[in-house]
Amino acid sequence: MLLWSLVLCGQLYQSPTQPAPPPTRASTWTLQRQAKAAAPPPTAAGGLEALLFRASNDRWIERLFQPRTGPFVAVASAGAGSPLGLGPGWTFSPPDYGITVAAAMVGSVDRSWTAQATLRMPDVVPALGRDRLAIALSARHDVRAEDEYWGLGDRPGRVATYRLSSSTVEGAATYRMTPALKVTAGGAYDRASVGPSRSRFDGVFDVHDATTAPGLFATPTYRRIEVGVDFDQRDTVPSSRTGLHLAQPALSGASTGRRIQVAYARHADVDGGTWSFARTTIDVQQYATWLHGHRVLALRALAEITSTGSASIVPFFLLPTAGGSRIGRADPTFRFRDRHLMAVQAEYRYLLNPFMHGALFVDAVEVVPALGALSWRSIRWTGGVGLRVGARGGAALRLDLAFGRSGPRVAFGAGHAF
Amino acid sequence: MRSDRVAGAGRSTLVIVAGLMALLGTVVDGRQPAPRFYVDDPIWVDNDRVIDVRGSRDIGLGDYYDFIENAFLGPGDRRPIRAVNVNTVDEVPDSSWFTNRMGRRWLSASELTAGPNRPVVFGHAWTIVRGKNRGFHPGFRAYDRSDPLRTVYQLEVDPPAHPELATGAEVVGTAFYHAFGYNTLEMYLAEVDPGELVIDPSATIREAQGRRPFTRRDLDDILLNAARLPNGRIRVSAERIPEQADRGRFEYHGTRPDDPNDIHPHEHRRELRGSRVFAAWLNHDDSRALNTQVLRHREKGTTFLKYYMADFGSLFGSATRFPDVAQSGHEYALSAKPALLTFFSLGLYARPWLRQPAPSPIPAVGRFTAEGFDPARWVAEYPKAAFENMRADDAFWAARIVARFDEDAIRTIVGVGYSDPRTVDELTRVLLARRTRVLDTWLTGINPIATATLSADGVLTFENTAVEAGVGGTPDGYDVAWSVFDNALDRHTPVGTTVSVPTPRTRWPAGSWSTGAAFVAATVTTRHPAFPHWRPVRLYFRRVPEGWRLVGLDRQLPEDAPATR
Repeated sequence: MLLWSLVLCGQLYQSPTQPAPPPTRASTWTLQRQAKAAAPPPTAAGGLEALLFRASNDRWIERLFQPRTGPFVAVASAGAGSPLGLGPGWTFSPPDYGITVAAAMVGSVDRSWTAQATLRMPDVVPALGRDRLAIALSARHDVRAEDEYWGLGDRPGRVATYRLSSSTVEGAATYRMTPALKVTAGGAYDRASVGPSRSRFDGVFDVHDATTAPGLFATPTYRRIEVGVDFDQRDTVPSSRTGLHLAQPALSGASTGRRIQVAYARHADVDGGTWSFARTTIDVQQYATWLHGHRVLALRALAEITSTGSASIVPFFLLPTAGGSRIGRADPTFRFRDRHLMAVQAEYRYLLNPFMHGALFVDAVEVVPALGALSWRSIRWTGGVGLRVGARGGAALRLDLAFGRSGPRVAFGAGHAF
Repeated sequence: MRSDRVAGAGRSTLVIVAGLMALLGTVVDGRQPAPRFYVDDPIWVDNDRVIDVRGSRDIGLGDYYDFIENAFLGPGDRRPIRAVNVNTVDEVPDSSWFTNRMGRRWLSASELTAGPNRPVVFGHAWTIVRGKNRGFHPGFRAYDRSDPLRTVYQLEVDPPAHPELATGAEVVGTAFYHAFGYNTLEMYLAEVDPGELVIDPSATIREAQGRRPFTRRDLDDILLNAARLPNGRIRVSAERIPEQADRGRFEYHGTRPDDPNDIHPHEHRRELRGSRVFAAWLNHDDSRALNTQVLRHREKGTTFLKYYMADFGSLFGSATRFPDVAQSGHEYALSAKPALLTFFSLGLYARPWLRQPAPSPIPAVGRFTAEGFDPARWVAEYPKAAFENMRADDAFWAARIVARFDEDAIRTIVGVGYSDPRTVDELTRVLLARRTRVLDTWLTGINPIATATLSADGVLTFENTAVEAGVGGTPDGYDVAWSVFDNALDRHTPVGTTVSVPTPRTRWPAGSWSTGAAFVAATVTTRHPAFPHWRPVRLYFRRVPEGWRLVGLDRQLPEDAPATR
């Protein structure tokens, strides 16, 4: 009986319902394929993947910020010292980009805002050659809700704030003589006025008068004529014709070459000339690189020279300034202002990865009422370290820790300091 | 009473029998065990077209997600398992992914130069039908007006300061990868006369808002940034737009959900893991999912997907629009440790690869050198699962293919893409030097026994690939142990004693022990003082009418094999 039971067990467990192993290697894989076909996995991408695919495929960033035609999100600043703001914009260009018309209005968290309309023609006379002659027309109104004024020169001062409103209508023509050399000529109408600001600091009207803050009660209107020369041989300069960056983007920003800009602007006060002045700006930059572009030394010398007639006064809010995220980084924005500004800057940049680089910098700045007053002893020195985030020619975000006579200061910025 | 005892004994028996039946049910699997080797082993063609895939769709892949996923999320199965799609002799069968070419037979010069291409003669007058919206390499789609079929090609140019840099890389890269065995798209060289370029009225280009007409300015943007030949024409790479439906890309991990034939996880496919070796050799630092293509084919009534490698413009010293950056091949785009070291040292720390020499002065070569090239440490721009999963046996498989490219073969392929003999000489020189390092690194990572034959009278001859390739030096000898193998039970019965021989040839033990055996096995240990980590390789032979056929090859990987860092 036991034997009979064992035989029965064997019969049971050789039941034809138990599948035999596949006869070939190929059939084992075929069975797997048939099983997958019978129970196919989901084909739709997960949330983040689908979102990023749509963003890339549908070009959301370009559509949002740089469309050829239609609404866009404008990112801009109302001027030095104002944080970046956002706002709506609208633009139109035909497919050949022969003309671009744009309008935008941007506001920032400090209640500053700017509204601008522009018209650009990059190639007015194609027969002269691609991108030879360009013109730009614009109308702009800026309101800077809380600018700071510390008094003239580099004396210790007490901060006071003011609201600056300015309007500009201008036009300029640029002629590219060679791939690296272009000349610009233009004219504009500028109007500016100072008003009280809502601030925790004292208002400029409470602290200053027309002597300590020239032009405090003025609303000058200027007819501005400006000419300039820009010689730019840096390696991140766009191609002479198309704007495509051809050079190897060793770092965010330039790594070799030089740039020399000279500009002369005459601001003629249309109401009698009290506020007329001229400004000459000379900006020289030089770049050197080693370790295959992973180390860059950037040098800059900047001079802003203001000249007036014997009876003319430059409004304080139109004087060159030092302090802030670009020049004299250890000092607050607009900390020092006077008729003439001299600055020498050096920045050593070292690549961390294709998207970030570190920096060591030194700024030497001086503001003086007259060129004869320039003095080594008056130079304000700033040094510090920084971090930049950006790629392919841009430092989209900049963070600096600067040290100076006033102590340490953290400065944020968009774009390189120079 | 006795009758009671008899009745009690009967009940006990029944209980015992019932228990035995239950026990048998738990320990006896009535199915027959799968044999170690099937009748069709080793399989040389994987029939991955058995399921019709008419329902496949275009699976797009976003640049951002691919980078984020692979750089930060570590997708795919990272177990260090043997590649799942290899056959029993540790080779890759032909499939919709790969066709054994140079790895299994010598390709003629014409085969090497032709690659996937058909014989085409181009004219110089082209009509543009569409702009090129994606990718870093400037170009457009056009047809040659001398072609009555109006076949559309995607044309791409070289940067002005580096003629032939990118176009050369495209065609030569295509030829190499085709010779390796991958599916590649047809890639040609052509010349375009700018004065005879015409824009078709229906030509469009995609922008953020959708499609718009392709304008003369769009064309000028490309032409003004294109290298010119002395005759004023522009040399272009011309990729034939396939007739088959585009089904997007494949990733280096997972499987395609819409392809039931795609059952082998990509991170465990030998040909994808091993492609890291080819990428290192040729410095294809832009090898990634976005540079692949999947096409839907229809042949003999069956619809299936075929998987292609594509876009080789970043091979050698090229980054398409300019020469490669110094980082290429040495470091991932995002590597925390070197970045932190550089940051906190205020730039005083310089990565070792920053001290390499300046790029070649030959414009078409770009930054491509063998100096500082360490194959084991070579990386693409960002990680991918298949590359990270590469084991010593995967690398060995690929390195054996690299070993089959001698100087003549390399020079023949390189000559396809470059007109200047100096460029051909320089690239050939660098490729030979890099080849040496590749072979030194990966032909010696495991016991380099690759194949073997067993004659009817028991003479075993096996191949030491490292010795054949001239790397690693000559081993001290080989120890061979024989056994009879029971394929059904996966069991060995040792025969004789281990024999030591100085060369890769020996005879099995004397006697009639092999009579009646369906399978025999030889376990070969290669003794080399420089490579104590080599493990034995076991060779399996099946009896066939003409003698014995190699049916299996088992490797045991050493833990410290330098497959990857």
